Amino acid sequence: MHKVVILGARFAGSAVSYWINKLFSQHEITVTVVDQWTVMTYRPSLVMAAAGHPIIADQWHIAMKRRCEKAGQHFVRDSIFRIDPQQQHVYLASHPPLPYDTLFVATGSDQGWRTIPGLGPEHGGVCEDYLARETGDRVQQPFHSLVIAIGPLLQSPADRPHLVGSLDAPGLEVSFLLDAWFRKQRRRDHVSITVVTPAPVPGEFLGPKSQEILATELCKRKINLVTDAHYERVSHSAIYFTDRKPLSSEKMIWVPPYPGSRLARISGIDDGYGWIPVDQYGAHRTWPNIYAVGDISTTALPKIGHMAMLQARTAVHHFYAVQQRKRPSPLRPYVLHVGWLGYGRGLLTLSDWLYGGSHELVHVGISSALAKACFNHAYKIFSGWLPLMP
Amino acid sequence: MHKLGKLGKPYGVLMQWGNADVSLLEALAVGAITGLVTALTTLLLATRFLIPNMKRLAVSWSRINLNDLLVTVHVAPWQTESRTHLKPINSLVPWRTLLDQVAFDPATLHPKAAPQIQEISLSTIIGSRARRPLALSLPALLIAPYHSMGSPIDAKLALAQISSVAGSAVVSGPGPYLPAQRAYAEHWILQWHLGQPGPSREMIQLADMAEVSLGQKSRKTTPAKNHKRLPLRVKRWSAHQRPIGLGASSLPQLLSQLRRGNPDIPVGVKILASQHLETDLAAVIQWAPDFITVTGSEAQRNSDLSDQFGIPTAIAIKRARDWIDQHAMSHISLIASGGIVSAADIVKLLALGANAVNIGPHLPWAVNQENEASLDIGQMALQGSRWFDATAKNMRVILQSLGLEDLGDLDRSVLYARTNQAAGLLGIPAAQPPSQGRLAVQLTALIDEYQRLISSLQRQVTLLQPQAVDSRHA
Ligand SMILES: Cc1cc2nc3c(=O)[nH]c(=O)nc-3n(C[C@H](O)[C@H](O)[C@H](O)COP(=O)(O)OP(=O)(O)OC[C@H]3O[C@@H](n4cnc5c(N)ncnc54)[C@H](O)[C@@H]3O)c2cc1C
Repeated sequence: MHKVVILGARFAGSAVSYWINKLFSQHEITVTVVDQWTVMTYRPSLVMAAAGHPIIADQWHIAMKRRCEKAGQHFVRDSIFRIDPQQQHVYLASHPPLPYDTLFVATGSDQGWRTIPGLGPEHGGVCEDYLARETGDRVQQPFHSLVIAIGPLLQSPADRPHLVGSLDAPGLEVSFLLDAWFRKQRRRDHVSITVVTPAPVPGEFLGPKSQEILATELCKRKINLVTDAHYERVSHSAIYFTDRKPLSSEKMIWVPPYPGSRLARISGIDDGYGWIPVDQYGAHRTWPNIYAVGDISTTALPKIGHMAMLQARTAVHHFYAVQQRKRPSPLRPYVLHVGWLGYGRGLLTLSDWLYGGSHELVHVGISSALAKACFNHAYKIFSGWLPLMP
Repeated sequence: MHKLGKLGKPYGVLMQWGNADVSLLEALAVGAITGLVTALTTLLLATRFLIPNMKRLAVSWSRINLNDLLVTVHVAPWQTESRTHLKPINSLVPWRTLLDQVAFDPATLHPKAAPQIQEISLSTIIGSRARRPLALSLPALLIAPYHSMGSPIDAKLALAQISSVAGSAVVSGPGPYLPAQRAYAEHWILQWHLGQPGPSREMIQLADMAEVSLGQKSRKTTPAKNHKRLPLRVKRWSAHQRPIGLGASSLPQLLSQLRRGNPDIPVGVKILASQHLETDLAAVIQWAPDFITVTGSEAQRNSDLSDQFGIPTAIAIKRARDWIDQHAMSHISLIASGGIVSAADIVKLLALGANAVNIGPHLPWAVNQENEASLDIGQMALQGSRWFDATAKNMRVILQSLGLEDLGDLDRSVLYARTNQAAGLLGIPAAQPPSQGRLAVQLTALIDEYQRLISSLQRQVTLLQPQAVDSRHA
């Protein structure tokens, strides 16, 4: 039987296991999913936890192991150490090597805390449950200044489109949600909020209209914005830049730098920068039986969940087409994103602007926020296997 | 008193109480009033503190001593704070550890300029000669509890989360490998107990530091039995859990195995601090460790023989640092382990010569194990990280009051001994004249306490007197 191994079980890995389950019968292939966690932390909800509601961080866990096993797939909880593309083996920390015929790598980017001297998760974060919980708890203490900083995307200079920030959307969402929360607490006049990003505009990956709306909203809500940031180092209470004065802050919240994946580097399947180079179907440029989907892949730009799901669909359909000797269809990327603005409003963006297109649908309001809330809950209820998958 | 005195011998038996003559009935009356006051106070304490904590107290009674009881009662309303300020009343409770007999000598008239508290650095580096030394923002390595009333796995995972948000590292501890622990911990220290199944090459490579623990009880993981009935994948997994290089179980072999497995990270040894500590150090140094962890007698709190073995942590660190410096080995980092429960403890040990400390397996923020059991990972993690937050703040306050900007500036000159015993043992100046030792201090405190009790009784007796006179005239 054909052995399929899926590494990673969040947005990308879970969508791969969904499409494999949908397209193949259990008699044709065996599927093994590997992740270090049996539950998926649903990251889009972490921004709310960080904005003063720490309890939310532990409420958005989705039982991925159960989901996969219910569909007859094996789930292995372990740390993935290395992929040997020649031997077609995956080396794990506490299990024997896992052989594969086709491999889907969906392990995302590492969090590059140490790529900026002095920076560490102790400075505050939002990208994992324990970081968002801690941040949500810390913002309840009295303080007067808060910086929300976005790390750089350490991408190959050859990659197009070229983005400089790791992911600014969650940082902006936290700033808006905290602004609203502080106002409710009657603390806003005593706390200054600053968003720092290496990008030239807020909402780097969205499109000109959304970027303008975000800039206006930040200004209206008296949230300071520092763009084009080049970080030098970070201390306990300040961020130092290479080309401007340091910024002191009592509290920080970081979306850390994205340096690609150590796993890809160690396995020698990366592009020299920690990202896996793939073609328009998501297949590795050198190893055609390895697919890379989600944040770990070079073309997965921007690094958002919706894009990861699109890539998973394309990659599995390509694998299926190859098996069935059919014509596969390539990835047609577009951005679909809703960001929280606080006060029950959201900013919806549907755009192909990043890929040379000119369409940009933007909507600000309660209905956008409702759409996001509905998607989030549906994702949780169906454990990532939605009745209608993007 | 006079009236009662006239009642005759059986009732009028005079008692000598301090320097006042008291009859039996008077004493009974005083006793009744005192009893009433005590009962009321107890009732108040019980409703305020004990009843809410009754379940925890009942279950953990066997493990609790007077110290713990006082702390439990105090800690209930503000458990999230650092326990630094929760020292029990000094007069009746003996010094908890030798470290309590040491105090800081604050910078006063001629200090260096007091640094801004925000800028005080608590960072440290372990294994400076390793290719990838371990750089921590807080010099504390967290050890998972060996025995936990709740799920030990949950406790380990919570500790890993705490270590990341506190800027420290977590030690893997005994038991099977936990991928989630590795994932949560920004810095993960692989600890290997002699006699246990060894870690895989992959685990060694995933570690940020590795430690071979000697002299701890080895906790064997039970191998899966009845192989025939197990599914194929489990059998393969079980076959994979073979010890590596443990046939000889010799320390040099194990260390070189770890080094080969991951040549970049600091590799070290954990030893129990014994009276022949220097001989042990001389033996360990031959294998060129990057760090040595020294465990003092306070670490063994959970066994019946408790602190019957080894020497206290403070003395061990002082002696180990002296030995390391004498042998020009200061590139070897020294980690203190055992009985560390507060910011003051950490700073004192660093001043005595440690580069970092181990916190746990008895977690200072966990009032007791039972409390931990009722918490989920998230709550445990928040409780612990709040403790670390408070502890880091307190450490900065201590450094600021010593006029220092960096932990690296600490040395023994910032310490003084409250007792001559501590001064002698730790080689630091004493604050008291030589005649007053620890026993003398405690006796004086006891006498003071009794004198206060007697004078309060006398006051109550005098309060009773006019009433007695009135009733006689009536
Ligand atoms: C705070 C925040 C909010 C966000 N909000 C949105 C949003 O609103 N909308 C949106 O579209 N996107 C959002 N994103 C982006 C989105 O979450 C990511 O793009 C998405 O998670 C990428 O999915 P992935 O599966 O590729 O990678 P990841 O989510 O990084 O998942 C990788 C998985 O692989 C596992 N793994 C990695 N390495 C190993 C290893 N060595 N061994 C074992 N397992 C391993 C991990 O445990 C993890 O489960 C947000 C991101 C963040 C941080």
